[in-house]
Amino acid sequence: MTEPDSAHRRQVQGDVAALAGTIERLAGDLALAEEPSNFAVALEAGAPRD
Amino acid sequence: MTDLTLTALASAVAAGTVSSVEATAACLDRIARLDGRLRAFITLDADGALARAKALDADLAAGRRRGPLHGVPLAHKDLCHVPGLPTSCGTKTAEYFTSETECTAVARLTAAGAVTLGKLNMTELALGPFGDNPHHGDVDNPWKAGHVAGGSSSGSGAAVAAGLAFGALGSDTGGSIRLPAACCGIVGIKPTYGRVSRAGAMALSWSLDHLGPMARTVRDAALMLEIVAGADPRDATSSPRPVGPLMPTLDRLPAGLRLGLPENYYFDGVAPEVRAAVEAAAHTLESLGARVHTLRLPDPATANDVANVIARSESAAIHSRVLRERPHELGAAVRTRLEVGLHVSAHDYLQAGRLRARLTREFVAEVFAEVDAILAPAIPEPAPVLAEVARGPADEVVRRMGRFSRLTRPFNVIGLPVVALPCGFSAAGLPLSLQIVGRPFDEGTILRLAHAYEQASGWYHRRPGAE
Repeated sequence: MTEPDSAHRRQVQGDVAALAGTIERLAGDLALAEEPSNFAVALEAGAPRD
Repeated sequence: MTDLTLTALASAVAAGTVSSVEATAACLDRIARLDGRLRAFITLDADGALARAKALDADLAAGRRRGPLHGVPLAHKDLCHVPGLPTSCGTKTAEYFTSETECTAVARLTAAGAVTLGKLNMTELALGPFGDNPHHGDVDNPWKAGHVAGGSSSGSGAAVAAGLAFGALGSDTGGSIRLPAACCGIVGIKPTYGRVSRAGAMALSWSLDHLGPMARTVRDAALMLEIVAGADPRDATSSPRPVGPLMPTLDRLPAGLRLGLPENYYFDGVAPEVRAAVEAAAHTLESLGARVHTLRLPDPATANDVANVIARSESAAIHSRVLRERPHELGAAVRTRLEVGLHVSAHDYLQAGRLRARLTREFVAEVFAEVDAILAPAIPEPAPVLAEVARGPADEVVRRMGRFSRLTRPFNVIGLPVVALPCGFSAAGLPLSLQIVGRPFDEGTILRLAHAYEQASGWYHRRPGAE
């Protein structure tokens, strides 16, 4: 492995670790009932009443 | 003729004072003169466009008007599949993306009578906010050579601003409609997630992608949105919610509407002239009867973190083949961004999806209890010099990309509709841009506000001296 390859790999690993750490911190208090599809429910519920 | 707005041209064609062939030829002439510098087009279909225009003129002469865009020349970001034309998605590979059927949004514009001039340049794989492209040339800013056109729908922004086309489709995963609209001084709409079908367009991130119109005025963009919006059985994420007409309410003044100027995040580190222009826009809307007050938004930085995890994971999955088999064909910054996504865990991706749901619910409940729309800058500074931001080590370029798109990306995560429109010019003569953000599926209110501001401010009269 060349030096630039090694530095690049460390950079990618560092970015991935940073993302994982952020998500771990933010997701700590998610409700058990929370699921990704609630996103669409939130949009529909927030639309103006016709 | 290319100084006409889209809606003015449509009226002129309908009235018989201008033919579609004349309008199409005028665009082709302007492309021939200006696109050597702007590099807005990847594929120009001059013969196809003229043949279509001729057929539309014959239809009109026979009393058959296809729809509200009859005879109007448009062009589309080169990630929309249009039968008979290649779709490079800004890559080195001419036919990088194919689809069994035409991009639904393009098909709807065509059914409404539009002419397709060709396919527009874009950042490689729609990954990047500056509009540079190592394979098709960097799109130049029509207002000032050497400055970024904004990305990733860079060709759409430059082509519409410079009068090469009367309107264009773009796509927006983290700001890719609004950033080039802002840098090029035009109007761009990122609709509510699910409002416009994504079928037949290359995906970058299924959860964050939006297709939308780019045009010179709010009225033009609203007409295009009215045509392309609505449920599509070919896109499972498209909303079944009916699309009300947008044009009839456009001229209603915004009296009584409550507008919020964010206290946090949106003015942090932005150029003083950007802040001043957005605050002046708020005063203008106030003078038209809206009520403006400051408010604190749920932390948009959290939305950006969630966006990073979702966008990196999904884009790496979509483009894993080119990344594994032909990484040398990709630009360094694009490769770096995709590579990170290969290593994000399934656990983190799913947690990000759950966080997105909570963020959206909380944002809608908290913010729209207080206001009807939010005003914010679209770009933190006027379009920077391309050579200063898109060059250098890939990780440094990626950080600059994140900073430049930090004001647009949060609204992709929470899916809200946003219109970006000109709100002044910098001392150096570059456009400044305002975002107006609304409730889910309430494009009508933000377009009404945008139209009222546009008419009162008159910025849309100013055109770039692209020649």
